[in-house]
Amino acid sequence: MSSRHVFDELSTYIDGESNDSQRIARHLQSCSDCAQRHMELLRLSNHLRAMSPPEVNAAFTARVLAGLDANSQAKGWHLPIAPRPILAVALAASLVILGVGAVFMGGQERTTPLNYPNVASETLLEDGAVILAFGKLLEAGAWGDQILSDESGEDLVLPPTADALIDILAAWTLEEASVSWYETDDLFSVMEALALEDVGVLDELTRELWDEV
Amino acid sequence: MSEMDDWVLVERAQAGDMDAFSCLVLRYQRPVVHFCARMLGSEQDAEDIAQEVFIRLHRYLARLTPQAKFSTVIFGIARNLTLNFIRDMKRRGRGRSQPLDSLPELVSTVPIPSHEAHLKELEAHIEAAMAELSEGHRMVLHLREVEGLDYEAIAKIMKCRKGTVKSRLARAREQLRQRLISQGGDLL
Repeated sequence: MSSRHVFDELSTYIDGESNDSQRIARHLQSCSDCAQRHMELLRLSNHLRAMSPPEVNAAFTARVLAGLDANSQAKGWHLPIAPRPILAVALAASLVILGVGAVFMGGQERTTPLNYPNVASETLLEDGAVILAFGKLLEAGAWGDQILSDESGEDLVLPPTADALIDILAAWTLEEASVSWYETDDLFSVMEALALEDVGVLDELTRELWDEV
Repeated sequence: MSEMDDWVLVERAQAGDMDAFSCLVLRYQRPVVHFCARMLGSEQDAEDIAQEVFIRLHRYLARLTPQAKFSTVIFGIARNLTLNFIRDMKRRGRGRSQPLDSLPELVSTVPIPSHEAHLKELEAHIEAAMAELSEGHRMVLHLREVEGLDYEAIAKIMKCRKGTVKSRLARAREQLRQRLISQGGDLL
């Protein structure tokens, strides 16, 4: 064995992404442990690539096109259930945050560092608005919504900050708010509209919600 | 039209050509359903979510501008929708649609040639082991190994850095390797 084991480097090596492939190749010739691990990872990779994808229903495309028709026939936005005040407040707060979000929006491939305490400094948002709700840090990106996760896959929970508005929203954990997933979905629709900068839709939603409340 | 570049089809679809959009759906439906099935563990849920992926794609058509790979757009939408679906299922106390215990039953009881039987058994073991990985690890492995996407494209889809893709992929492969070895036999 010529040097220490290279287990941690084998993944990038088999992908051709290693910056030191010659050293690893030399090591594999002299270290049976690493050579065996290398072979196992290669076999694993081959197995995964050889697995056949599921058959798709023959009517799939027709169903998609029918779904598009159904969407285009729907008039405006509607809520599946009566909104609760908390949703209206969340919506209003989100609209206020639009002002904050707008700072981050509009640019293609713009990357903006987050400046909130307890959020990893290397956490970045790309090409999207920052929306805060239910105590989570959310991103309304170009393709919809998702909870921003850290590298371990855990959701980032936003701590209270000096900003009063953010304080209010940060206090709303999902459990405390008792918001059903339908309502959550509606909020996500709002955020999607934010991401699309569709002011008309936001106005319409705001009027609907406040009328109901 | 079936030979056209993805972005040419997008451009035509943006102009209202539904045949071009249908061509995109046909081209990507199987990879997208496969990705969703890998993430959700249910082919029925996967088709439903995949259908929504293409509806969202159509909704966002006007905003699309050519990027290096169209697949980063379509899998980016699929990523968001599958993670949302998983999150909703967890909230409602429902995990992956297909319980792990049932996965070994993927091996057919109908007599089939031994080589094919071995492959099916292997696939069932790999699917079961994949199902035990975190969503992030399943996703990065699928995008790399099945879709063959490079680190940069995966980083774009998963909204993380290239270095994160590298480290997640290494951890995912190692966890999958260990799980398959712990299942015994000559899986690797």
